[in-house]
Amino acid sequence: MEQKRIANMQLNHLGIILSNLSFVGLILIISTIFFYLFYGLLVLIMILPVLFTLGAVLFANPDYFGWLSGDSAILTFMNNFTSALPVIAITTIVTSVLSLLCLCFFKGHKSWWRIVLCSIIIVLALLVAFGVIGV
Amino acid sequence: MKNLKVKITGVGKQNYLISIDEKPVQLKKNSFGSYEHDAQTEKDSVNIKIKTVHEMNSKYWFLTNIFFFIISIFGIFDYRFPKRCLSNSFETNVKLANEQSEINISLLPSQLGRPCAEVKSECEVQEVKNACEQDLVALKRMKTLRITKGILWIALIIAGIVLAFTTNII
Repeated sequence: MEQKRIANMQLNHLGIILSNLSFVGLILIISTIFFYLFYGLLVLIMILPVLFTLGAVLFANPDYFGWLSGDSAILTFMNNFTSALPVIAITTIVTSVLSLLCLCFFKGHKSWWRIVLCSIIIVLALLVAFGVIGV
Repeated sequence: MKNLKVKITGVGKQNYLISIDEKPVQLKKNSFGSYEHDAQTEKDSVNIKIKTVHEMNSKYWFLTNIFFFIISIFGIFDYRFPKRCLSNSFETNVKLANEQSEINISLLPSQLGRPCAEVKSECEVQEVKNACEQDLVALKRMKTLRITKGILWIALIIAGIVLAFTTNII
C-alpha cells in the first residue's frame, strides 16, 4: 500500500514537472506570436520612408526628399527603432508579465522565479535565433 | 458488530497513509473538507495508524529522481522537497464500549518533537505513538541525491565549455 501511494506521489511529481514545462512552452508560443506582431510593426515603420519618397516623386515636392537625407529625424528614429534593444526590452517585459500571470496557476509549486528567468532566457534565445542579436 | 466513525481533519497537502486494524483504508472527503470512514468490527478495540509517506522511501528512489531531474531540464522546472523530511507517526487503540462510537482526530502542523495529532472521543483512547520525527532514511537519500545533482551540473558545465571551445562558438 505504501509503495502504491509513493508511486501515486511520483506520478503527481511528474505531472508538476510536465505542467511547468508546458507553461514555459505556452510562454514561448505567445512570445513568438508577439515577436512576429512587433516585427510586423517594425516593417510597417520601415515602409513609411518609402511612402514619403513616393509622395515626393508623385507630387514633385522636393521637401519630401528631406526625410531621406542622412541626418533626418525619421532615419535616426528608424535606426534607433530597428536596433535590437527595444525589441529585447519589450519582448522580455511582455514575457515576464505573462510569466507572472502564469503564477496564478503555480501557487503551490513556488517556482515562479524559475519561470520568469527561463522565459527571459528563452526570449533572448529566440531573438538570437531570429537574428536580432548577433552572437 | 460495532461501528466506529473515524473523522480526520487537518490533512491538508500532506500524504498520509491511514490504516485501521492493519488494513489500509480509503477515506471519503465530506463537504467540510475533513475525511471520514466507517469502520465495522467484532473486536472490542480498534487500532488506528496514521503516518506520512515520503517520496524518497520508494524502491527506485534514485532512478526516478534522476529521471525527474533530467526531464525537468536539470532541476529547473522541478519542485523542491522539504529540507527537514519530517515524518508524522500516530498510533492509537480505541476501546469500543457502545455499538456506535465516534473518534475525531485532528492532524497538527508538522513540528519536530511535537505531537502530530489531537484526539477527541467518548471512547477510551490509548495513544501508542504520537510524534513528529525526522525521516533519517529520506534525509540521507536526499543528501545523496543533492550531491549527485551537483556532480551532474558540474559535468554539464564542463561539457558546455568543451563543446563551446571545440565548435569555435566563443
